Amino acid sequence: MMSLAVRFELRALLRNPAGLVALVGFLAVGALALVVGERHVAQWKDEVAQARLAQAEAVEEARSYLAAGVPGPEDKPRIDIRKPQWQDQLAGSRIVREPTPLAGIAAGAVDPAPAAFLVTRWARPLSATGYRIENPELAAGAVDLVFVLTLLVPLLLGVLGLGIGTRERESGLAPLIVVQAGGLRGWMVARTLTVAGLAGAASTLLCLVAGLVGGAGVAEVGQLVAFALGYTGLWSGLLLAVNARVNTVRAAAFGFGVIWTVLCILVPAVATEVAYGRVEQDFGIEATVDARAQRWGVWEMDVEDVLIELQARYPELDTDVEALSKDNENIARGAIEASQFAARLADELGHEREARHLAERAAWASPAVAVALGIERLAGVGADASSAYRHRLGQAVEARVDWVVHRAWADQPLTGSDFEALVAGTPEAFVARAEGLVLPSSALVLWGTVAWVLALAGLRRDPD
Amino acid sequence: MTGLFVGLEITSWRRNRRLLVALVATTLALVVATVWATTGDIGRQQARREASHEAREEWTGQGDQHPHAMAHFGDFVFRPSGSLARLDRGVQSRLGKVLRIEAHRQGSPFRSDASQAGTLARFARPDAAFLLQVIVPLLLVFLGGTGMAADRETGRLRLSLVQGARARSVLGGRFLALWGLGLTLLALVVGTSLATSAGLGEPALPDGRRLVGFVAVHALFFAVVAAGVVSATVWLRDARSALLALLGIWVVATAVLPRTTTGLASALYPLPSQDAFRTLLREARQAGPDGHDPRDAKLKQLREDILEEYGVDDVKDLPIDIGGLLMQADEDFGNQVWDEHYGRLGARLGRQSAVATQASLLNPFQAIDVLSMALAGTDLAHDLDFQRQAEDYRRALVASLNDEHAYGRALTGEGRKSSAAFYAGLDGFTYTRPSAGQALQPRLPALLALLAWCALLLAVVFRGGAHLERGTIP
Repeated sequence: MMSLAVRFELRALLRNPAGLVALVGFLAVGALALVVGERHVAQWKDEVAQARLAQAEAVEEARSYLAAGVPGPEDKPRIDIRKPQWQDQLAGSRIVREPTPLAGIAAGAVDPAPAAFLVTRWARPLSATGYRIENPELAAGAVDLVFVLTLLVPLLLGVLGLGIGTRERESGLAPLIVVQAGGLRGWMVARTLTVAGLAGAASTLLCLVAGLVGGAGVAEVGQLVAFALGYTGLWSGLLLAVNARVNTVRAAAFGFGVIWTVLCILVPAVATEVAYGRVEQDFGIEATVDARAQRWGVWEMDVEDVLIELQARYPELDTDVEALSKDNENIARGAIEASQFAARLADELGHEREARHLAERAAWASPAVAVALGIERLAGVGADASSAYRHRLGQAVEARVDWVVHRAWADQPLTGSDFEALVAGTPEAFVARAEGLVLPSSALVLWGTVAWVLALAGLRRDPD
Repeated sequence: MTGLFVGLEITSWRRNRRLLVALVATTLALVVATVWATTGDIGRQQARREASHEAREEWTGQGDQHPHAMAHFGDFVFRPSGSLARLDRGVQSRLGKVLRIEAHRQGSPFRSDASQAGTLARFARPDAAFLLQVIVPLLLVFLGGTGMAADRETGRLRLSLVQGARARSVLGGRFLALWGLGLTLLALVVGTSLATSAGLGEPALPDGRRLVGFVAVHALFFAVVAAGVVSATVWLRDARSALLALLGIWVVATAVLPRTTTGLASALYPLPSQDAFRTLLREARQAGPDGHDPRDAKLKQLREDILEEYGVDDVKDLPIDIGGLLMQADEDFGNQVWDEHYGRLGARLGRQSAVATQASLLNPFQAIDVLSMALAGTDLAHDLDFQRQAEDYRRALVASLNDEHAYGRALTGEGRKSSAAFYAGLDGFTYTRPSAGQALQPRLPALLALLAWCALLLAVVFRGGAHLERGTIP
């Protein structure tokens, strides 16, 4: 039965211009998505390289001042490289975020974190926006492999497979199939599996090319292919479920179209509305107006209160000083301000965790969301990855503030070796890990199971 | 006679249970989406007003302060909603909502909704415009996609023609039925939004001209869709071919072509990365004077000119505070750098959007998208206009503060502070929206494209009618 169905479908594909156009169109859009993705990754890598170069240049410039025994540039007399606050500035330390091998497949993700971040005691990870300058009118319509898999795979299956069984019923050929092929049920399953195989092969091809071009490992490509095939399998089940229950091609097209619209457009849209509804009326008063008032409060505090606050944060420091230099006073106030910012960053990361949980709940309601979430996590781009990166940035800024405070309090002029130690202590590049794949995979398995149960249940009405 | 066929078409929809369910579902979705978006937009505007009020309260509540301290205390500007954002959100969710106003510092708005919404931000939001421009055309395809071809296949068309009906009346009736349905749904959307606004105590008609424009372009768009559906059913061989062709066109026009345009525009006019742009700005800025450092070598000439102007040899002998003038010199340089680099970036963004507008010549779905956003005030052009006005406000505010720093009460006031009354007297930011005409002007090619498509497809329909009457289409 399977070999008969395979031969039948391949012949039907060659004779069906709509099917051929759909398959070629799918591969063409997929190829475009891969090209766009690779260009995006190339730009990202270029930005990382430029950030590393900028850091190297800053370090070389600072080294030249140290070697010449001068405090800084001639035309900026207030810069003094022997002081910690200026070594902090001049080190030009950057934490870069390197793209994963599969980053290009989710180029259409909304990713608000930068690709490189300059770490100083004044750095504020929350104010750093995405690594791309985007035209919002174009960004909303970006094509990537996630789009191709989530929206176009079901459509491809629809074009190739609508009418399996229903055409036979409509034209009165069903009894002939029962007689010649042994049963309509088996015939429909075999043909659906063949169509699924065609769509799955096309998706797998795109995934393999994506992996090859990005230099991904076997495990990563395997996971990507698993998502693609799982999604294809799920929609094949839904296609069979529709074909099993209706008697005309038109009704099948209508039914499948409704299911596609609901699962790929409407349910994700409702979930998106809920996600946006949480943030639309939030103009960031805490992060802006309130934060400004807080910051202002720090700079208007009496010196005694500053020292008390500093003592609470750095109990190891001797804050019982008679006279505080202006520099150290500014550094102390800056440190208090930085700790307020760290608290706001923690709040913001908490909000991002809530957004993540909402997406995970939506993944159970729509397989399209499940696949999009899974692939973005695998690719190491999107909201989850950017949140992890900003968490690392926050830690790095805190560490830098600590360094400046301790060096300032030691009240000794810094040397070249202090500077080299600072440069050597720049955190390594951040690469997002592929985490949290179990949930979207489980959602996909559940949907697939439900789809095939419905399909097989629907087939029970047909004679075998 | 045409009216009779309109009635017949509507009756056939009522009798087809599946189509009726789809029609009712679409109508419900439109009403729910419109009420939701209108309510959300009103809430957003209210939140924005509160945020602006709170920022202003803090500004005026600072008491006596030194002008440069206030220049760094700064202000926040919150992006207003587009005039018709409750009907078409456009790209609003991807735009930053808050802009920091501070001396020596320019930047782009931050805190966009999309950046906070997580993974789900990649999916479309079902506002009224999305449903009108994507789902309603699909509905019209299903309602009208097979009718004419099915009439030909079953012989009903021949029967109608034999009984004296003109083919053009038949086609005209189908076209008017489909177009009328589109217009009815459009009227429902607008009416629902106005009623919801009135019910929540908001002004029902935020901008009458833009609303009229919105209705007009969508009416034109539905005429294009209706004419396209009827054309396909006239000229294609059978019902199935017509339906498949229309669905294929819908998928290509709504999902594939817009995304292809994105890739093309990005390839033709690539944008720099954030870091590269910021580094460029920073390096250009650093090449200029530092107003905070009175010893800055680049300000030496300015200092000497001022001393000469006042006929003194020492800064201490000046009757003004030179710091204010040095700050303004720093600011002027920064403004030049910003204008040069951001101006170039803005021009590139504009060229990218122009590619999208030009693509709409080929795709009426893209044409209505850009026109609708422009009229709703939720497109890139409005964003750039908002940023430009905010930057003008920043420059005026900082210049006033530097002026006060140099010449004002700060010279003689206690602790060299200016009074709270002075700061309260400085105007806050108010945004003046472009007119409907100004908003439409860059999108004229899209409007002309829609008109051309409408004329072309109507011509195809009527030509089809002529062929049917002559019997040259079976």
